[in-house]
Amino acid sequence: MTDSVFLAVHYNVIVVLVTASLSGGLCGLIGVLGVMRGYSLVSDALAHATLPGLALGFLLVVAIMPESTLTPPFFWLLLGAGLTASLALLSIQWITRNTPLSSDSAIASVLAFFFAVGVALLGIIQELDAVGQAGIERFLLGNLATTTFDEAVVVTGLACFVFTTFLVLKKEMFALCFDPLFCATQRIEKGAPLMPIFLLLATVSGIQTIGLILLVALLTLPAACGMVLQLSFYRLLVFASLQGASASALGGLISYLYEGLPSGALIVLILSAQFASLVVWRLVTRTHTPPPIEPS
Amino acid sequence: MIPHQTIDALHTFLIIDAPPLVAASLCALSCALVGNFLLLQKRALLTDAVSHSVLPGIVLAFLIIGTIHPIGMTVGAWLAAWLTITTINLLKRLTPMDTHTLIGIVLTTMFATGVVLLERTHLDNVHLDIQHALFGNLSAIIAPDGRVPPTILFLGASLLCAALFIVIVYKELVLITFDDVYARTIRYDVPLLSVGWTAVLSLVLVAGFQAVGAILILSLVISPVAAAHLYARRLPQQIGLSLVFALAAVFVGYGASLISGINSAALIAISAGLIQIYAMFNAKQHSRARYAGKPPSRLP
Repeated sequence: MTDSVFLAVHYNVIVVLVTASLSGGLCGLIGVLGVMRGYSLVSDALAHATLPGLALGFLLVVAIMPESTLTPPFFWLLLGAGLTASLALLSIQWITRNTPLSSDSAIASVLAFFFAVGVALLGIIQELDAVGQAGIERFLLGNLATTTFDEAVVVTGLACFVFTTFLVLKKEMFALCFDPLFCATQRIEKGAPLMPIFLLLATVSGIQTIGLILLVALLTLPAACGMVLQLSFYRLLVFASLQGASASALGGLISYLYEGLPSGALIVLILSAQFASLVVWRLVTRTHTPPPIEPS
Repeated sequence: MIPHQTIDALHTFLIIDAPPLVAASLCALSCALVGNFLLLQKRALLTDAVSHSVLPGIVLAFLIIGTIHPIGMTVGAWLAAWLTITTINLLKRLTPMDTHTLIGIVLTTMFATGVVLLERTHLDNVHLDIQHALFGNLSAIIAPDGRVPPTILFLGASLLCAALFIVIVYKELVLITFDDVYARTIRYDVPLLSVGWTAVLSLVLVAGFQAVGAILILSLVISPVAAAHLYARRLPQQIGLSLVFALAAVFVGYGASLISGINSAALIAISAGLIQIYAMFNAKQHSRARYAGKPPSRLP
């Protein structure tokens, strides 16, 4: 009896740790690309735009299988999330290219509009009184403690795909990060369309771990820590993915041990404590002072 | 002689339906006012950072004071908003990251602090939880005893402050918005003005946070103004149009929420977004000609 309970606990812990570290590592890796190309808040908009997708996926599952008493399959929710997030990405691109609005305004308005649609859909779901509706609200702030086996499988699949593609195309990614114009002239744009796809996949894999509100932290903070340390590009990639993975695993473990603490908030606090101490350390050990830049 | 039913209906309207509508209108007007300048300064996303950082400010103020006191909460939220803007400006000088990354870092840190504090102190019984912080709680603004609710007074005061500030320093604010460097050259006190501007901005956002929540306020700041920006040719015209669009979004959204029973803040944000979408398609030809020389975007 005790043996089986012990095993079950361990099994859950392993599922939580695998999901957390894989999605954290994935977000850390892709976050480097995002930070270097200036897409940080684009990914914030994408993360917020997954809410209507999650709600639509849930409604679709309820409509197809009204008799089901199970919580809706993770895969369908993630599919919906990916669809609305890509719609948000396309709208941001369209607005910045075809209207006089700046990219700031485009990101802000797309973020707010998609999130509002998501909130309205959540209201509809609450009125339906369907089974398993709490399943969506856990995506807001992340809830690693409730991770199931098939969720871990989906996240693992996503992570394997992105890591392999990234390894194959790492030279192109390197060039794209530093000089997209050069890439265009040399016709090595193979990786260019992959960049937004990577961003989308990282976003979708992270919403279970850290939650869609705080997801942008996992995409910016590991890369930011590496950049404060002034690492070279490939070291930065390794450092950011390791840091994202370890912080997510630690946050997941703490939220598993102390019931009720949302994992997303813990991961963010761990990462930002590291970032703050690195910035302070950098200030103390700095040998020369750069010329002050006027805040605009 | 007015029939009883009419008086009863009017009574219900004044107590239950009118206060949220008035609150949303005041909030939308003040957001649109400050939004005009934020859009032109290309700093719309600063709103996002400030509105998220209000949460830890409110929770900490509650922990220190021990009761729900509107003034204490406002001061706490205001200090947190200040801390956010100062930290972003400081990190911009100390680290190699761009503003967007720093906004993302500071915003999530502040919000996560608020979430953990909220979860550890069990404030759920005092009308302060994550759901309300994110989605707003317009329908809770009612006037049971016929007096004006404090939230409406606060929103009115913030609208008055924003309008007064903009009227008094209109010339200086416009110059800083369009040409910061020139304003410095002719010895305008730019730091003092930005301190005042930041104070007004955070006041408006703190007031709006209590009505419509951290994320939906972003839509009230940006969408009506973006729509107005596409039509207007001069700043006063843009401000006027944005106020009209903001009020239209509030009335349409609130009406739809009365009919459907869905969260009114979300429906107001959706109608503001729809106004912006209509403007983007309708004003497209017009703006293409004006912005023919716009540099290509760096977005993906």
